[in-house]
Amino acid sequence: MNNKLNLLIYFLRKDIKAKYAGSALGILWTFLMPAVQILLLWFVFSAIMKARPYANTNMPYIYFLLSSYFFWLAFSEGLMRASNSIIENTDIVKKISFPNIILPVAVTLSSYLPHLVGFMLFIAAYSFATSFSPVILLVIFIILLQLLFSVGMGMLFSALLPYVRDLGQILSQVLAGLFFLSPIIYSIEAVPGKIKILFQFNPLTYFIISYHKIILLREMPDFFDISIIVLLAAGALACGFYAFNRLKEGFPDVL
Amino acid sequence: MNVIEADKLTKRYKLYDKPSARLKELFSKRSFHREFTALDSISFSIKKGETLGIIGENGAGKSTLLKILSRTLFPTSGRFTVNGKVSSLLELGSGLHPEFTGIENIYLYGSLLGIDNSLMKEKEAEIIEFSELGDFINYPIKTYSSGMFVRLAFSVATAVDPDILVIDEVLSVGDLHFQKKSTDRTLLFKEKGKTMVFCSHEMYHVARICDRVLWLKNGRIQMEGEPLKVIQEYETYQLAKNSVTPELNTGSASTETEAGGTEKRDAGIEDKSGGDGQKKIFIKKIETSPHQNLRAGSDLRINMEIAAGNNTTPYRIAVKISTVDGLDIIGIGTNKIEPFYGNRKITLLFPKIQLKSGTFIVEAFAFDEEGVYWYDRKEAPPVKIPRESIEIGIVNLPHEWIVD
Repeated sequence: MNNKLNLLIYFLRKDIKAKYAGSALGILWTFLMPAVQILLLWFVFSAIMKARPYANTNMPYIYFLLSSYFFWLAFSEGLMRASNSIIENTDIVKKISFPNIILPVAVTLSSYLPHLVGFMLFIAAYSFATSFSPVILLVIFIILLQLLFSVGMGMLFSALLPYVRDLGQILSQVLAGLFFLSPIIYSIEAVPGKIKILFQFNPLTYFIISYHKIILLREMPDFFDISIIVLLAAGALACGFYAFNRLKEGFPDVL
Repeated sequence: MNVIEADKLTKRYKLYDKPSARLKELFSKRSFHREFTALDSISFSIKKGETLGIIGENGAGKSTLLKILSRTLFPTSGRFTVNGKVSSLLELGSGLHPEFTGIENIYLYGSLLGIDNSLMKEKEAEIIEFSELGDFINYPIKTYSSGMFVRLAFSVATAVDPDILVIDEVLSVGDLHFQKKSTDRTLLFKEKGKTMVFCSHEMYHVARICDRVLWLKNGRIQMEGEPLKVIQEYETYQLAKNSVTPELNTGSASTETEAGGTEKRDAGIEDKSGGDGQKKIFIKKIETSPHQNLRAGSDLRINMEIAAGNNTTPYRIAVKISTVDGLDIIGIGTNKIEPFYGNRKITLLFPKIQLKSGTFIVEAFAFDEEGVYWYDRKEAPPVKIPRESIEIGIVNLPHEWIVD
C-alpha cells in the first residue's frame, strides 16, 4: 500500500512536471486557458444573451458560471486524459510489472488540482464580494464524490480505450453533449419541461445542481440529488475497478 | 524448494488484420483473428539458488517466457507461481523519465519495481557509486548519454536485492569497463544463492553461468538439462541448419544435403566418374574409430577400403574434416607418397586429435594421380566430440602461457 502511494505521488509529479516541461509560460497555461474560456462564456452569455440564471434574482452571471464551471473542466479534462493514460504509457505498461491502475488515478488527480485552485480563488473572491457562509464547506463533500466518480470513469475508459481506440473520439463528442445538456452555462429553470428529462440522464446535472444550491443559494442540497451522486460515485468506482482488473491482462497484447 | 513453477504455460497471440477486426469480434460470435502460439504448453520449475539458462533461436518464445516470468505478460492458459520478488532486467530503463534527475529517477524506478522508499534511501549511495555517474546524478537524465542511461537503470535494478533476477542479454551494459562490472555483479547474485533466469545467444555466457539450460524451439521445450549437453545439441542443430539453408535458398534439387553441399564446394574439381557408368576407383567403406565415445585428445583413426576396377590406374586418397556448417578444418592427401594401385585398406591416424567439441564431417576422396579429378567420394558417419569445457573454438593449438 505504501508503495502504491509512492507510485501515485511519483506519477502525479511526473504528470505535472511533464505537462509544463519545455513551455515558456509553464504553469501559467493551466490558468490562462480556463480564464480565456471563462471570459468568452461570460461575454457571450452575459453581455450578448443577457442571461439571468435565476429569474427573480440579480445573481451575476459570472457567479453562476464559476460555481460549477471549474468542476466541469476538472471532470472533462480528467476523463479525457485518464482514458488515454494506458495508451500513452504503453512503454511502461508493456515492460514493467506494476499496478497499472495507478495511471488513470494519478492523471485524474493531476487534472483536478489546477481547477481546484481556480475554484478556491473564485470562492475567496466570491465570499469577499458577498459574504462567507459555512454552508459552502459542504462543497468539499460533493467534490470528493465527484472525484471518486471521475476516478471510476477514468479507470473504465482507460481500460477500454486500448481495445477500442475509436472510443476516444466518441468520448470527446459525448463530453461535449454532456456540457451543453447540463445546467453549467444556463439554469435548469430555463429549460422547457419536456426537454428537462434529458438532463436527468446526464450524471453531471446532479453534481451541478448541488453546487449551485450550496454555493449560490447557500442551502443544503436535495437529499435525492445527493443519493444519486453517491450511487453514481460508488457505481463508477465499482464498474471502473472491475472492468480495469478484467481487461488489464490483455494490455500487453493489444497495445 | 521450487521458486518458480510453471505448469503447461501457453501464450497465444491473436493477430488481427486491422484494429477494427478486434472491435467486430467483440460484438459477434465469429472469429476475426489468426492465432500465433508463442509458447506451447511449457512446464518447468526452478529451484532456489538455481540459474536457469534459456536458449533458442529468434522467435522460439524466449522473450515471451521472460516477460511472463517478470509478469508484464500474462499466459493465455496454464498455471505459474513465483515465490519471491522478481527483478527483471528486460528492457532496461523503460520507466525512467527524461525530465527527472538521476536521483529522482532512482526513486521512481525503485517504486516502479515495488521497492519501499526507505529501502531506496539505504541503497541510494551504493547505486550512485555503482553507476559512476558522479555529478550527473543531479541532472535530468535527458542530458545523459545512452550508456549513462543504462548504467543507471542497471545499477538500480540490481541494487534492490531481488530474490529472482530475470536477465535478457544484459551482461553487456555500457563500455568495456562497465561490462566487466555488470558481469561481476550478476555473477555475485549467483554466489549469493539468488535464483536467476538468464537468456542469451552467447553460449559461452550460458555455459559459464547456468546450472541448467532450457532449449526452446517453436514455443516448446526441445531439450532441458545440463548446460554443456544442451548447448552442444543446440549448436549442432544450428550449424546443421545454417549449412542446409543456402541449399534451400538456391532451390537445389538435391535431396541429399551433404552431397549437394560437397558438390558445390568442390565445384572446381571435375567428376571423372560419371559417363562410363563404372567407376574405375571407388571407396567401398569409410569409418572412424573409435566412433562412439571419441573425446578430444584421443587417437582418431579413419579406416578406408578402396576397390579398384583394375590394377593399372594410379590413384591417391585425400581426407577432409569439416564442421557441419561446411568450414574445412583440414584436408590432407597422399600426394607426398607414391600413388596406389589396386584394392587397398588405408588408415589415416590422427594421434591425440586436437579437435574440440562439436560434430564433424569426415570425407574421403579418391583422386587421380595429379590430384585434379576425383573418382569417388564417400562420407563417414559424423564424428561427435562432446563438450567438456566452456572454452570456445574448434581446435586446440599447442600453446603455453608466459607470465612475466
